[in-house]
Amino acid sequence: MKRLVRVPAALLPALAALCAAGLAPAATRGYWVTAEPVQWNAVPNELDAIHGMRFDRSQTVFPATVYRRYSRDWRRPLGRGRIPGPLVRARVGDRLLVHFKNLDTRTRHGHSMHFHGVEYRPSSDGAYLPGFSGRGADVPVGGTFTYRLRAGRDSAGVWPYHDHATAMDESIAGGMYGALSILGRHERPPDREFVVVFAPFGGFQAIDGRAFVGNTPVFQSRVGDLVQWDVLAMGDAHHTFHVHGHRWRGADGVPADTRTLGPAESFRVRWREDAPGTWLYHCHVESHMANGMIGLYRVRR
Amino acid sequence: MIAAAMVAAAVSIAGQAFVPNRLTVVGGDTVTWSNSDFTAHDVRAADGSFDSGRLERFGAFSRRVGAVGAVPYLCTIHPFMHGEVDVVAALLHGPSGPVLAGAPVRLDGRAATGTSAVTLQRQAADRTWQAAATTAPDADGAFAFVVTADTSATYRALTAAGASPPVAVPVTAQAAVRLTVRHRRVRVRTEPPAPHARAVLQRYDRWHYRWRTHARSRFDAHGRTTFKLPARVRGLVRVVLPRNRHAPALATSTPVRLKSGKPAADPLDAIGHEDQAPLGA
Repeated sequence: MKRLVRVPAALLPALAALCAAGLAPAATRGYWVTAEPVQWNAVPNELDAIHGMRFDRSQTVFPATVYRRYSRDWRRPLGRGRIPGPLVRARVGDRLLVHFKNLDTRTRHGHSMHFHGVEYRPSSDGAYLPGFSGRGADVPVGGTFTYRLRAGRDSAGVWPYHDHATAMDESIAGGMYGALSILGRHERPPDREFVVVFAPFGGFQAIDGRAFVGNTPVFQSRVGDLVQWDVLAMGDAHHTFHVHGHRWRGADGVPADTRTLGPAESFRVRWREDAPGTWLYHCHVESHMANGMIGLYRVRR
Repeated sequence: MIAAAMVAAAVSIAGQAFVPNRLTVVGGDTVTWSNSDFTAHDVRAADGSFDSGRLERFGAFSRRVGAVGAVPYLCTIHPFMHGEVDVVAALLHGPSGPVLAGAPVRLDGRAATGTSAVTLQRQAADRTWQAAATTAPDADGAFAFVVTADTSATYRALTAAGASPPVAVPVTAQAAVRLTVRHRRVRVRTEPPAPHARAVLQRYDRWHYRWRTHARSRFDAHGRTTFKLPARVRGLVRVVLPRNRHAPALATSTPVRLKSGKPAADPLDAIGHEDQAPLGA
């Protein structure tokens, strides 16, 4: 009898660990995504409000190909095709199956999805390389491919994904990119998550494909919220992320209110919101800010 | 009835009646009568120019009509069933409601296939018809004129074979839109009234620097309409009388502050001026 009691007692920490793991089991997350043509308006209100400059649709609307999220088996679209593409979420330890279908009947180019930050075999790399790459690197119009990914130990954070097929220069300039947001194994999700992609579009310096205040996303939160900014850059230039009225601590523990990132770099910033008001966020490269890389952040009490 | 004739010249026989019992078509059109009744009928022209013979349930009869004029017909099995086909040289369609002065008005029409020229005529004060424009119809006889509305007028389309039925285009002067705000109701009227015209309530979205459509309505026969707003709607509102997509509005009210009901300046008018207050908190 004594022996029977003693043995489970010795196993208790291991059992506790098993139970804890059981509360947040590693999941397999499926995403269904297409590449689709759209007419994208970079300046829907036809106004650079800060400089008092007006535009008309002929100057701001361009054909583009974008990623669009669908329900299981591409049964129905979940929202419109947008720039950036759907936010792909996971936790460290999760498997991700991203099912991609190319519906770009406009250019009829092959397209792909190439993911940063996660683990995968070369067959799921999505980058075109003659003699080496497989079907997933240049999915033809009407074709499909499933990228098999894993959020590994080093995958926590924010990462870009983008087209890496033969026409990637043109399609990235047209908005074929998006973000992965991966939480740590037991990390608390934020109350608000804002995706900021700095990338040029149609001659404008755009955030999420839009230019100038009121067109770029108007992010909203309330005092007390844990807010998370997912910041990424695509294209050929460096950008400096800046939010008015707020500071955060960098990896070195030093307070900062700007951070610079180059092409395809990404980071995330978190804070507990305590500053009500309407604030600006923008790229602090001043010519970029003047050409549209600026937006509003509204914090309510 | 005239609009239906543009699409298909069809007469249904149902419930012991011809539906519609009066049809206006262009010379050369084909009219089809279809019997969907439970009993047999026939279709015989009063002048004897056509006779369908007995049409059982689901039977149909088609006849190409030629000369301009009215062709009365009846069912000889049920002589109380009467109908008439009015054959005209051309059809003209005007706007469904009144138009505001200065607005372009499109008058679509159709003449017999092969018509080489159509003249748009406008009726003068002395009731005489005066030519306003001339055009060549498409191969299928379709044509369109665009006139600028100044005063109310009556138009018709004239071809070598005759004239279309007249079409009235009522015109209202440039409207001033007036808003009265009380108890979260926005009452709208225009001066002069624009009965049956469309009205759009917009609210100003200050975070997006644009007016956004909040609700749509139509003025009643007295030229009035009311928007009821939920308590969450705050700030500035205005009412626009739209023309069509991407075209400037026919009329726009002065913005009104919902809380006070007092008129206010359009914030977008101020953008770009140097005395504008700096942005940000």
